[in-house]
Amino acid sequence: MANDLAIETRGLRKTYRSRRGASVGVRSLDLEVPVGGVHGFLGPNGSGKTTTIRMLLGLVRADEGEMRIFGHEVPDRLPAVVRRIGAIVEHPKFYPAFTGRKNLQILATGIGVPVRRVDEVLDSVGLGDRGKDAFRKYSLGMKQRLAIAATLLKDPDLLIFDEPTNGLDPAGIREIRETMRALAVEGKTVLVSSHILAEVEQVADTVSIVSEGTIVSQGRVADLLSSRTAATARVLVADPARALNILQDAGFVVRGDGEALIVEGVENPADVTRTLALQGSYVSALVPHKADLESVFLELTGTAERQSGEPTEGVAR
Amino acid sequence: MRLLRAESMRFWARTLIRWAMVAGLVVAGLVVLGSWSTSTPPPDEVQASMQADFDASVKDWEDNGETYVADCLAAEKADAEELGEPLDYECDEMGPPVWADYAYFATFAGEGLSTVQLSLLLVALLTLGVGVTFVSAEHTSGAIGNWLTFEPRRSRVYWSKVVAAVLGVVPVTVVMVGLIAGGSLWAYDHHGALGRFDLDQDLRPYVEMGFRAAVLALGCAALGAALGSLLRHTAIVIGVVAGWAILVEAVAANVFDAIKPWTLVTSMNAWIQGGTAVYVTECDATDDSGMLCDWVEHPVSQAQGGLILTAVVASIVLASWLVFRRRDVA
Ligand SMILES: Nc1ncnc2c1ncn2[C@@H]1O[C@H](COP(=O)(O)OP(=O)(O)OP(=O)(O)O)[C@@H](O)[C@H]1O
Ligand SMILES: [Mg+2]
Repeated sequence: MANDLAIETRGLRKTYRSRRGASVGVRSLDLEVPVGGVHGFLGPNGSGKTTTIRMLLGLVRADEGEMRIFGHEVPDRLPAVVRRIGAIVEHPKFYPAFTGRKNLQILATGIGVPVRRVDEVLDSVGLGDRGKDAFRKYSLGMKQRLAIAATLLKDPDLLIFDEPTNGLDPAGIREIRETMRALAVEGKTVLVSSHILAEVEQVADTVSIVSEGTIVSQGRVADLLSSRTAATARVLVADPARALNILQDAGFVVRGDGEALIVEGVENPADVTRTLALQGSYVSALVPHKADLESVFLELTGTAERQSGEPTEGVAR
Repeated sequence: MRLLRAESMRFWARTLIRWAMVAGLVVAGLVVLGSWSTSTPPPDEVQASMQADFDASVKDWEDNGETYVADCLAAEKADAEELGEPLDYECDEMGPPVWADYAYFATFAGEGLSTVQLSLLLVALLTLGVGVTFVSAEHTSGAIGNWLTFEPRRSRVYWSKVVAAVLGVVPVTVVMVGLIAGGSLWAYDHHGALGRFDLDQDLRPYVEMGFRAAVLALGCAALGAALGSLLRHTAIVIGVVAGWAILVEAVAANVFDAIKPWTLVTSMNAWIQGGTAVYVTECDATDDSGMLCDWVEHPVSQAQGGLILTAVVASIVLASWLVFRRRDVA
């Protein structure tokens, strides 16, 4: 296993069993997070992001598979690396009745960090003057910031944030994004899970896309996008059914989308216009649509499949 | 050690726990107050009438005592002859009236001691509750998941909580046991109402009883912490404990009273009182008339009680540990 990986999982599998039956958390999940930078962990709801993070942190037991963090086998060797990992899983969870400061003081005492560090990290997330308030009186944004402060107690090399912007307002989202970027600049590795593409696209250097418990694609965000630079074009014509046939005969990948046609893999939009014009079908509008992570994501996670009822290519299963 | 310090911080930061301790001290104070008022001698006019009754009886005995004894012996003899077997009406035990039979004063040897023994069980109940709420709160709030990202070694996490719960209740246990046992004894002694309790002879076993009650209370704190971790919600623990108390200790023990010597209530009584006894019906088939049942006194030793309690606490604490070691934490 490579040493330049902060996180590496192989064949990870987890099935939740309860009285109501079994539900698959993740199946055969191979995640690779390089050291340094922000790594997006992208997937729709229920795709297994939180489950994976819980397994990495030893909160949930994997049924099968191997995991390594900084080369250490986890969960067995977790005690050796836990000081290098700061994590927030789902909502920040602290003692509701304790003050923010008390909550952090207990954590600091538990790991042998001097208690004066608590005030430093509280200040660094802008909670310096609210440390005396009970956790339950915090707004969601403040809870989130307290959780970040808690991870900073350890001065970790790897930060794991599970949907950190959930429920935050735009200012809060931006703040979290800047925090993550700043951590990456300091040379730390940040793993951020999200089901919001825009978020990952804006902040992440590398990304893993997970769907139904397996990784369907991973790599640099830039590479993922450039592999699909060929744009999609949305075409409006008077007679879409006829135009669809014309374009298909000419070898384009086309599908109907209401009154419009979606043409994929268009290198030069003029090709579309010319082909149609030659057959007497005139384009009333053509909107080139450059690939973004969103379309890649929808394509890879099969959400688009379900929407258009058409198979899509490039799903690495 | 660090974990234990962190858990102790958590323990003392819980307002509910602090209030429970205050409540415990109030209860202990009330027990002492009760002992004080029970042992307070009755007012003068009541005492005067007791004295009058006593004096009248003494005079009666002096006047008619010999006749009473003679009548008794005569009746004994007559009845024995009629039945054809010897009888003992205990006529020779008749004697002058005893003051204690006329003065209805509560004594420590009588009422006081059993009140103390019962109240000492309250200390165990309190520490059980404190142990439960201390640990279950962390599971209910989900804070345990966050804690485990700081200290993933589950066994350490678990044991530090159990130990912190036990250490945390030491002060309140010592003060409550001291107040209940010491205060009550003091109150009765102050009123000269110790009765057959002899300070020279009985004080040492009495102190040992207090010590055993304290040990029980500490065990209950560990048990509470284990139950809190196992069941994760205070409400569920209350349900389970109340369910056990009603179904097993009360209902089942009455229906099948053969289990009485083995119940937790009996064991706690035996442990605290230095041995106790329960009454069990024992039935035998007679030759023709069917079953013959009898109330049989069944002694339960302090050692038996202690062993049962230790076994129960130890097995639940260990089971909870094994579960926590493997459990998925959300
Ligand atoms: N404690 C649990 N018990 C049973 N099933 C669970 C449990 N936790 C998760 N699951 C199931 O495992 C699957 C993956 O859930 P997980 O929470 O890992 O998804 P996620 O990617 O984090 O989703 P989201 O974006 O909604 O947070 C889901 O089908 C979910 O129903
Ligand atoms: Mg999730």
